[in-house]
Amino acid sequence: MTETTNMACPWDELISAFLDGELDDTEASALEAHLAIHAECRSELDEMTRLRQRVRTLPMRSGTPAFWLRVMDDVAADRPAPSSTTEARTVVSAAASRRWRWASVAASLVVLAAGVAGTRSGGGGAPVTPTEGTTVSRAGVIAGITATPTRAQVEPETDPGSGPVANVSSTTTSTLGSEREWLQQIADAVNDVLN
Amino acid sequence: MSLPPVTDAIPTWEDVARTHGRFLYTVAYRLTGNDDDAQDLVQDTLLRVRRGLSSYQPGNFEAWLARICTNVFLDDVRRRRRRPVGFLPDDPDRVMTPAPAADEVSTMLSRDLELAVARLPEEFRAAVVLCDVAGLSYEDIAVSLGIPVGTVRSRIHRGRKILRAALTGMPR
Repeated sequence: MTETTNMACPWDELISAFLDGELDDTEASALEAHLAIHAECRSELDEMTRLRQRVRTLPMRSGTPAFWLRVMDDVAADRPAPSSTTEARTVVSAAASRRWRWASVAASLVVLAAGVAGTRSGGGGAPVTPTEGTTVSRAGVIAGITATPTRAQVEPETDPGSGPVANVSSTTTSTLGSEREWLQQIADAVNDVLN
Repeated sequence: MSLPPVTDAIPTWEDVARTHGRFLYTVAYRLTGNDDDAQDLVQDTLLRVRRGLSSYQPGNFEAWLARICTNVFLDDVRRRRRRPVGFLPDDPDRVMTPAPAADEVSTMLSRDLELAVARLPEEFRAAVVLCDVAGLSYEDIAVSLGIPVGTVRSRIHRGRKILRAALTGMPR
């Protein structure tokens, strides 16, 4: 991969490490001195700062409740992913696996229905409380994944002259849809199974 | 001197999924670029976690998880390299993120960036994702990928340059 932008400057390669706080004090001071006299590197720092911030604030992903229901069962049964090339596979015929999987999903949804009802009668959006060693714990796991507030790596724009900015982690509400919407999806899925 | 906190106890793999499931899914999605492959990667990562939790040393749990996820991903990439498969990120309509009209432009820009990340060469993508999505230090990334810190530094910087070039159409 070849690059033409600002690659002639030997300081260019340090810019990302500078932004990530990964230069030692001597390197950081030397780069700051260089930035003071080289406009092209300052411009590069500005652009990399924006790009880095955009990557770090992309929305998180969580997968669907149906996925988590399936994967929790599959991992509990020591089954690798359908397309896995890396994990040792337990010998189970595909058809048998599929039948077991759907029966298991249906059973889990019934348990989830109770969990959703309990949550609602409890008057709020609290996750279903997991109970260790029972199927209900799986409902709790899945509710936890989709209801837990997510960590966003939010960082202020860096002043080119101010040096590296420490990562600031904050807790924020997920952009992936509210817990209520997710519980509604579960309720709809349960209704589909029961009807 | 106080005693070590009880929370240093080794968690069950279900604890891992409940507490870190969304983080793991996000890392897997950024590495693979689509939901189908992300789901397989999450499953194989949790399987490896379940089989190997006893080797976990209390510390930065998400760094440990991201490292396993990335290694499963790169193992898979190496095995498939002889028969590469092109892919595109999923249909935006399948993304659960609500997209109010006022945020449409922002959503489009995010999709462009997601696409650019998904198209990074795997070695660059792994370094950028471990740094910017999983929040690992360069030293932890170096250990995770089995490469020198200087190479991590180079891959992250070049990876970001490739992303910028993809977004702006500038030569690279």
